[in-house]
Amino acid sequence: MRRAAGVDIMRAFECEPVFRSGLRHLLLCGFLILAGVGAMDSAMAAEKLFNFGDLNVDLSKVQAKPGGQSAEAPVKESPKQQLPSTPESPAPAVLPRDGQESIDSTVRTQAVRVEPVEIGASKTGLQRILYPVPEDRAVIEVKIAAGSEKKDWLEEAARRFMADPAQSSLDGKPIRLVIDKIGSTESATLLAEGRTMQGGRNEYQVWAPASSIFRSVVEDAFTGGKLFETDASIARSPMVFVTWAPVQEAIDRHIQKSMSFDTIAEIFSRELAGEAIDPNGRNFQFGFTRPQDSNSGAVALVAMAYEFFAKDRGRYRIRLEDLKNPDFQAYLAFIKYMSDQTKDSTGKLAEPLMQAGYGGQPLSSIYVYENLGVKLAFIRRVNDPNGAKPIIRYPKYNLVSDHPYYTLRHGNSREQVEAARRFEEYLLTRDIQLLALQKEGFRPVSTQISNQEMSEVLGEFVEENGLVPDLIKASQILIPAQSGEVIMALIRAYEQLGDPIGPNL
Amino acid sequence: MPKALSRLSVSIVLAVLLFSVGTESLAAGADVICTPATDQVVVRFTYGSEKKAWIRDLTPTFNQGGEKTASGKRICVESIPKGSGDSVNEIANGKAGPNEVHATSPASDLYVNLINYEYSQEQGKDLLKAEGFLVSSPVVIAAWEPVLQSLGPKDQIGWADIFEHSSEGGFRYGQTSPESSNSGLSALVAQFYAGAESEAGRPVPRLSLAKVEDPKVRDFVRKVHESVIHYGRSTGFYAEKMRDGGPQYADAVVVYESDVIQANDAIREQGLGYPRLEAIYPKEGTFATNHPFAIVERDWVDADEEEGAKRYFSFLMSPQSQAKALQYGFRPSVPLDIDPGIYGLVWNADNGVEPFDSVHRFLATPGGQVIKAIRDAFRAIKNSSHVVLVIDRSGSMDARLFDKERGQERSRMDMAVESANLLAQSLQDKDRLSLLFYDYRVRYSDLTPKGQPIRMDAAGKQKLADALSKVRPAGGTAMRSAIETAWSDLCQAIKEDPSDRSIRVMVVLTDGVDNASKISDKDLIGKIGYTQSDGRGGYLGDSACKIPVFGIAFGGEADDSSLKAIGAAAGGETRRGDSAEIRDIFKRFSELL
Repeated sequence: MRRAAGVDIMRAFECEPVFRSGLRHLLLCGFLILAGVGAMDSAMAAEKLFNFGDLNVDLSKVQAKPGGQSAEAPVKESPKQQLPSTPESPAPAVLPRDGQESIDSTVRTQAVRVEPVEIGASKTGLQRILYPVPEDRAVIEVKIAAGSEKKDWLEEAARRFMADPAQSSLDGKPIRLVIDKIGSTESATLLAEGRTMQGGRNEYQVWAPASSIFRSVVEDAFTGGKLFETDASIARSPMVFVTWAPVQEAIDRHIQKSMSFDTIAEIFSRELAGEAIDPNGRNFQFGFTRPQDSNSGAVALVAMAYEFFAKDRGRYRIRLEDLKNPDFQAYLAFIKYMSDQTKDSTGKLAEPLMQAGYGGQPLSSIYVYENLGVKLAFIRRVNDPNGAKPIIRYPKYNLVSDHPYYTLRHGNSREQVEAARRFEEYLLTRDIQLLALQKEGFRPVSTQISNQEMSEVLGEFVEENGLVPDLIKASQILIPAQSGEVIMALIRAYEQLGDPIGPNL
Repeated sequence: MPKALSRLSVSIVLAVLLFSVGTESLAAGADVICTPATDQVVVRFTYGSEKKAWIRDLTPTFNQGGEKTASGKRICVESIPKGSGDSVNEIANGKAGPNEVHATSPASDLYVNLINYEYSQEQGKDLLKAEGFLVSSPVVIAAWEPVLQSLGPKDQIGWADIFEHSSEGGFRYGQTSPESSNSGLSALVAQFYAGAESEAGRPVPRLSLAKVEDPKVRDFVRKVHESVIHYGRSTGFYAEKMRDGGPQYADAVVVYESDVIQANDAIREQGLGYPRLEAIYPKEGTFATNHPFAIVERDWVDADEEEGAKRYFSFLMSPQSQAKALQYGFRPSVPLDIDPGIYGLVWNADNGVEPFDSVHRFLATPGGQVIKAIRDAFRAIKNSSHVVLVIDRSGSMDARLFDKERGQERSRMDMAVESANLLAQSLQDKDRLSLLFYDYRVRYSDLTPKGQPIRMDAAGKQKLADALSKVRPAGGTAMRSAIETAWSDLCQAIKEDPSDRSIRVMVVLTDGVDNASKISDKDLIGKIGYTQSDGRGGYLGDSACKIPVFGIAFGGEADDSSLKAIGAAAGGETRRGDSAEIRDIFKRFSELL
């Protein structure tokens, strides 16, 4: 990755780092750099700042670490296949106790019980698709309901799109793109229940959840034609557990299992019995997002259910009936009670770790998209190069988020649909796909991005952080597609579960 | 188009109105205000007062930058420091009219979780939508170096130790109110953890509702609160009091790591002569504050205001802004391309904190439902209080003023009585109040003779209102004598019953110049000024009677210099106000209790 512009300019003027130079020299360098990057007036600012002895953070030297710089690499030939298996991408080791899944024994050991909750399919009224609605406004608005994990990427892409005269108008009217950060579960529910319609028009023109697990939930709520004009995948990212290195090493040493919800449950169980996993004596704190709000939380529930019901059954489709199992409900309640469930989006879950590292915040491990793991690893390397590293581990049972881009016809005008489709094409261009990779750590779907370019970005995180370039090798079992109705019932059941009861709780 | 026109008209009318009342009342409490202008969108932003220095530093720079929304409006941010709880509660109440808030940044997402839980229970949706997290700083217990030495090795001290020490008596512990401030809520949650651990006899990884409702756990927490010297509205307020009052003010208070860094800097730079303030990172774990930046999800926030708030958030997240946060002791949220050695100049022993990359222990953050149960338990748990209201009834209190909020002329005494009743309303049944009047003479109200404060149950509050309504102003001003009397009687009560560890404070109101006291400022401060050095290595006052004095200088003629000196020496503060401001000052002081 490139160095930031400010640093390059600093070097050009042969400015030394702040502590090796005199204040006068520093301010002079600062002034020159400011002129180059158009940053704030550091001299004025410095007068107002607290004086910590010799400390004077020269703001002119402070630049964002690179990550979102535009690509300079020439366009290369399209690879025949994305993400091939290569010797450089070894599969993670199978650990000694990987065959010993013990969710049921964890529930038994902890004697966990919970007040059972009813399981049932939801009844959503059918809506008739209304398309097209007349376009009578001066601006063609395209509002995109997107998961937080893609917000930064989509906002930057939208900014570039709207600044490009070749893209930014349709039939003489300007196109206005608005990225609305909203959890995928929440947006799916709003769409399916018709709550995005206001005055005969749809608030959203695009639904861009993190994965397609809710597609059928939304589609099944409509009748009278095609709901989605387009449904392309715009990026990919598998789910991962990201755990701080000292804790991950301790898990490998003591638990001896690959990361999965079974492993997490066993850690909780051991800690309740007085065994400390973290070598620094910290509580083991694990977080995933609230399933009723966020896609990654819903995926977590699917993974938990699959581990519970299908570990020996191959391509099993979980049934509504399964969810009534009292041991399963007790297990869900146990995980819910022991985990951090305070965040409603995956981005928000990962941000405090980016901010404060291992030692400055509570979470030991989180369940997030791979790209957030990459971003976390990058930020920590920059801000605290000697601190604990985040380790990316691919769950034994995994789902790859395909980040679909659904252009909605219902309640929208032809012009809005066309503008939304045009933005989709723009997102799939080489530059914007490269942006997703370089700035946000997504795996691009465009074949115009070469494996070499992929490895230039992601390769940095293979050895130190455990990233596996070859998705096929990363997880032992890929969870097959599950019924949207069952997933929604699972989420509702989870939401209703109260605190579990047990002698150690 | 008619809607747009009507909106424009409303804006013009509002602008005229606002001009007529002046910008002071428009932006009550704002530390950065916007001059009304056309083609401008004003984003009102409340934030936890612990970030005051950083936000006040940056906001004018943003406003001068002239950023515009997509619709072409220039963005101006009005920043208003406020306790996290106050801030989110005001947004939920939605009664601020044209001063409604568009974005807010409490100290942590404890309050965001809590208010979103409550709001979604009522309205079926969240109230606040977090855009991201600005900076971070752990909650710590700040104790003076000599106090720390008496507690034991710094890394071996936990919440339970502090609480045990508190319950032994003689230990002055401070925290903000959990109802209005994040650090107070964090401390209260930690107290419940400590209580649950004490009850279970082993570490408790998570707090359940059952534990919060356990009477034995509540008893533990109640015991801790017996040592609270008084509560406070915001962490910034408490951090300032600790810094300005020094070791005599309190032994230990719950604040943020960044407050400790700033306090030690001030102690050195201003030559205050205090020992170092040390940050204790409790061994059981603490809470990380992550300063979420949230957009308000109410219909008073339009597209321009939302966009303006988002642009401001991006500005605060820029590397330049984040680097400035470092200098106030906050941990940045974005990668900064700086020499890692810089962190060592902020996070070091001289500033009373551990190195930047230290591994701290943390308690698990409970969900909204559990936090709500904890906050709701506070009313019954909090320490009882005994407040002495010292009211000026000199002839000048008869002067009539125009009360802008009420839209009518009223006497100062009427306004003082109304404010005193407001303070009384905030008290609970178990609290007590004494009413002491002064003119040339000093006399207790017949309702509360010397040594017989009245309980603030419903009947007590009514009797107080009746007594206040009968006050007739006349005569001169013997303020210092009144303070001396109130202090002597409170001190006597403390010494007669050391087991009564209620919060004791004095609230003094004056509107004139003291012309009838027999005691001088100097002698009075010598008697009651427990935070003021005696010049011989000790402190003035009586170490058994550390009673804070909070003063209100009512109107332009009030001699606030005397009251300020007395209040500052006696661990309190004095505020000047007129008309409607008096109510706000009384409200501020009521939150100490």
